[in-house]
Amino acid sequence: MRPFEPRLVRLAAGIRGLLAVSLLLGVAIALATIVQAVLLAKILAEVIIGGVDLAQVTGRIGWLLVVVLLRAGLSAASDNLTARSAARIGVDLRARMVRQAADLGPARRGDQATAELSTLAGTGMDALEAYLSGYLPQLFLSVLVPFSVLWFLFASDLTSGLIVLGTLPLIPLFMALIGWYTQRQTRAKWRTLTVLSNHFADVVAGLPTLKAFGRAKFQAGEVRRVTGAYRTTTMATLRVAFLSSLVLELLATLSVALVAVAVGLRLVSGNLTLEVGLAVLILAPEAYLPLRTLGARFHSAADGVESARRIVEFLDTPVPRAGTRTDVATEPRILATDLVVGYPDAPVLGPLDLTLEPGRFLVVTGASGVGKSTLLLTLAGLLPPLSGALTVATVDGGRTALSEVDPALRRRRISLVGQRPFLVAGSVRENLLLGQDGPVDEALLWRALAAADAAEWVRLLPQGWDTILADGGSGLSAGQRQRLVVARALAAPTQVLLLDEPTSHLDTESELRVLAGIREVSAGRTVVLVTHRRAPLDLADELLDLGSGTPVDTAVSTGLSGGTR
Amino acid sequence: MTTAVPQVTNRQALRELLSIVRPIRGRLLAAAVLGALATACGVGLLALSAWLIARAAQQPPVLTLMVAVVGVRTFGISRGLLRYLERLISHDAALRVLAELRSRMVDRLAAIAPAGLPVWRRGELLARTVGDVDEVQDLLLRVILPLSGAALVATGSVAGLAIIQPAAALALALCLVVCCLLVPGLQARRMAAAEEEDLTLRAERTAELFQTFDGISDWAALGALDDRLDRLRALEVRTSRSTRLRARSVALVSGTGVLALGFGVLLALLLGIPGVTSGEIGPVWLAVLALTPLALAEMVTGVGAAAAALPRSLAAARRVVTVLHTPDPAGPEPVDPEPLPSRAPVIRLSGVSARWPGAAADTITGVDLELRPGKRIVLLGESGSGKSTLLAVLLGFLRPTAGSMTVDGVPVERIDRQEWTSLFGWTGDPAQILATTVGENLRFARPGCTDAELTAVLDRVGLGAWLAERGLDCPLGEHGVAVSGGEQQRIALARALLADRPVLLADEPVAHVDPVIADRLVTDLMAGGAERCTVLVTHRRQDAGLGDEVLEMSAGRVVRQTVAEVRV
Repeated sequence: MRPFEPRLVRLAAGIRGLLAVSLLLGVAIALATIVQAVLLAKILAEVIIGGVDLAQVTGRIGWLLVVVLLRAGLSAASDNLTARSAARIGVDLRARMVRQAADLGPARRGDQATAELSTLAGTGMDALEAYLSGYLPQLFLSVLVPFSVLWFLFASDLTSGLIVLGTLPLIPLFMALIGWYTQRQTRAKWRTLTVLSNHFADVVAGLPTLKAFGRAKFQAGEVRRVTGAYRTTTMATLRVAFLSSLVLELLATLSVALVAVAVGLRLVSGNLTLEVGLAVLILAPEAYLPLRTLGARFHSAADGVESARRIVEFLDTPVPRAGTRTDVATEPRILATDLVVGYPDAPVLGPLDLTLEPGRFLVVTGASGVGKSTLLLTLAGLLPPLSGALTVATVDGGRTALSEVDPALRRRRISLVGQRPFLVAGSVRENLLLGQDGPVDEALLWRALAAADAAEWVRLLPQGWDTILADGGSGLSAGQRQRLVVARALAAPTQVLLLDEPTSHLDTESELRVLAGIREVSAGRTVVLVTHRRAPLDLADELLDLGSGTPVDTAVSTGLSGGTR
Repeated sequence: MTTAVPQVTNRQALRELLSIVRPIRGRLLAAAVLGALATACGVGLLALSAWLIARAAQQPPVLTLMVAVVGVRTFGISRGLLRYLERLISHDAALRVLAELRSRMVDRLAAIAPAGLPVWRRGELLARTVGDVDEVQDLLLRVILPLSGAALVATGSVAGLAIIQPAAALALALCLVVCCLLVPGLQARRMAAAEEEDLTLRAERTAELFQTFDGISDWAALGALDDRLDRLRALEVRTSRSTRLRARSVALVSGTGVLALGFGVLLALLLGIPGVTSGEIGPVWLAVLALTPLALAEMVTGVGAAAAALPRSLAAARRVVTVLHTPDPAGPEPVDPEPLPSRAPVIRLSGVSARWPGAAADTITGVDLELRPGKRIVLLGESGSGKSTLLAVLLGFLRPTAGSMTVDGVPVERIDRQEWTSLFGWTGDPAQILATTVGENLRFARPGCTDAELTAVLDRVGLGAWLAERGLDCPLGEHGVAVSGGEQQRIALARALLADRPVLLADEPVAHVDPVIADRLVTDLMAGGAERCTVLVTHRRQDAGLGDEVLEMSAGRVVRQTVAEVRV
């Protein structure tokens, strides 16, 4: 295992401070340990061999008291400071992860599933914090203390110094050898944990269906089986990890035993003074203790480093460069030429030509799976085009690629209503105002609600629009959720509205009311509405029928180009 | 929209854990004893070495030291071996507890889903199972075992010193009481509330993160990312308070540990040196008195860590047990369940009302309905009028608050619940797709069916060409992202058809499907044959003509119930 993830230093601001504090305190603790041992050995030797009484060693005992107080203070300070800065680093990295996920956008698919990412930012980050506060300072101690002790041993008793010097390097050597093996095991374990959490999230989400088909018990059994497999792999890792600490313990305790016996025998022959003998005995275990503690914290550290690696890798994933242009026209005309949309490894639709004129209402139809939703994601600027040009008018009458536009400005111009009605835990009102700042025009909000055929039942909710919706709006019907997100899009001051099947969950009468409302409230704005239903067709200024799909390798003219108004 | 979650006390939580631990108590006892012996070897090693060196300084004949030399080496070897065994046994035991706990959790969730689920947000549920269960594992490994080992070793060490000089032993005992019992105990008590809060906040944070990542494109599209980050930051600020408290408490405990053992050494000197001067103890024994406290440092560190982990793991245990104790919204299982009278059931609802857990009022009121083989029922109504709730009652997810529901004249509450559920094929709104292959998504509706059957049913819902392109092993991903909404619905419909149950409950099965295909699917669905009863929930008015009976719901009530002309 690599004991430290160097890329962290670049990504986490607070880590330099943490390293500096650990280093300083480490040096202080090492020195205090040696002084304490020497003082204690002197006192004991004087009493045991010199036969002095208490009064003659009071001074030294006083100094010993000072050192004890100092060590206690240092130990407390080290624990307190490192835990705090580790927590700060965690906070910082979590925020970065969210930003990174946002920057990556919908192009991040499959391999970075939501549950996995949440586990990484939650449990994974906790492991990293534990590593930073528990393992990293220990890493410093395990270098500083043995070196200081060795220096002392060589200065006072060469034989003991040689014994310790001979055995000490074996510890990191064994740790490296065994750690190398454990690292692979840890990765496997992390994979199991990820599978476990994805599997579990999936089972919980699917429980109603599973239960309806009498499969809930079976799936519970599956979770049991997966957990069982987790135990087997974990125990396999642990057997080896513990073997490493066994070797370390054996090395450490046996070396201490060797030192003690060798010192004892040389004392008998009179080659050594008791004072040196005792100091060596007290210090010899101290040389091994930090390394042993390091070994004991090894697997939690392995988790931490593995989390660090995954977090760093996620943060280092290249993101599409955000645009910077802010000179987009207030009523932008959007133009697509030879546009191919899809995901990096899977083109979905195109090439096609398309013009979105300000104030026009375009209805897009086509077989399911043809790529209507992917097209909307691309038009919203959330998914980069695979090839071709997607441009937007600028104030000076020129054009710029949509990807060159500053994302914040792009969002103020274009809003998207996805197929999955997206609501958050919060009140209806908060949900309507998502992403908006500045003064709230309540009348406008109610008008949007009314247009989305939602004003009536929102008023009837227990606390009206201050009623708190649970996660994802559960408690509302699919149609109600859908109407709320439509109202939100209508209330937003954007010029371009992209609506993906906004009425799929509504009954015909409600659908007609919502469509009429959209038409009315969005007058003057550009609307692209994806649908497979008939009702919206009547509203369209223009129609784009994607049919059953266009082969990506053959250019097909959609027969649609910007008309004049 | 949340229900009061049942409150669980520490005692209840521990009782539940005890029932899980009971089958492996032998392993736990072995682990505790082995752990104590390993620690004792460490103490013995240093104490004996101290004696050896001090005695050697008096230059006695070497032979008199040989027993001590062998003893020192033995302690050196056995300590590592004992620790290794202890770790293997204790971790294996803890993982067994973990597996059992997680399984019980899923079993319980399966029992209370879906009506009992909205009580917790989904991300939080994930935190509870993955995180909290791990913390409960720590209760065993980092709290109970180290503490019981430490108790044994501390007692042994004090007893050992008492043979040399009772006063010094008493002093050491005093120091150990302060740094192993008093301070960690007080801290644990003081931290209990803070830890509870910290854990709640962490779970909240996981839920928040889950929600953020889940809708990250939507957040970005809404331009609400900063708002999202602000919320996260607000949560972090609240978390950092308890983090600071915990850091301080850990520091206090570790500082006290170093201090108390230092005082142990000082007291041993202050009491031992006059003892040597007065001849009460041999000078060699002074080295043992003074160095034994140093040998206990590792044990004291362990106790501090255990005390720090205690409130946290207890709180986690309480939360895990809370999930296990959540009541089933479908009511208790029948005590002496009756089998289904027939596989061609006549189900009668009269005056049925029902509500979701936590709701203030009934979602549906006074519904009368009869389901019998061959009957086709169309359920119309505004969004939110209670159509899906009615299906939830039929499926047995939700127990009626009033009215009666019988099958072939037998009250449904008396029927075996598993058998009852097996009457229904269901496709929900929104369609639920599991993150696995198409084949697996279908197969669980009818385990053991052939690929040909799967192909046939997908062909029936108009996905033949789609299947030919992708194959049965095509993965559907999270939320089924690799397939469109219409395809998801048709896969769910195919699943319900494949199950071939006596009653088919189709909740908006074609909302995202192209109109032409949708018409064909609905017609096919409603021509279900003489054996199957079909209930179609739809907002497509044109589908009304396909039913033998049409119910129109509004605000939880059936406002119009029309029976079609007798059709043969």
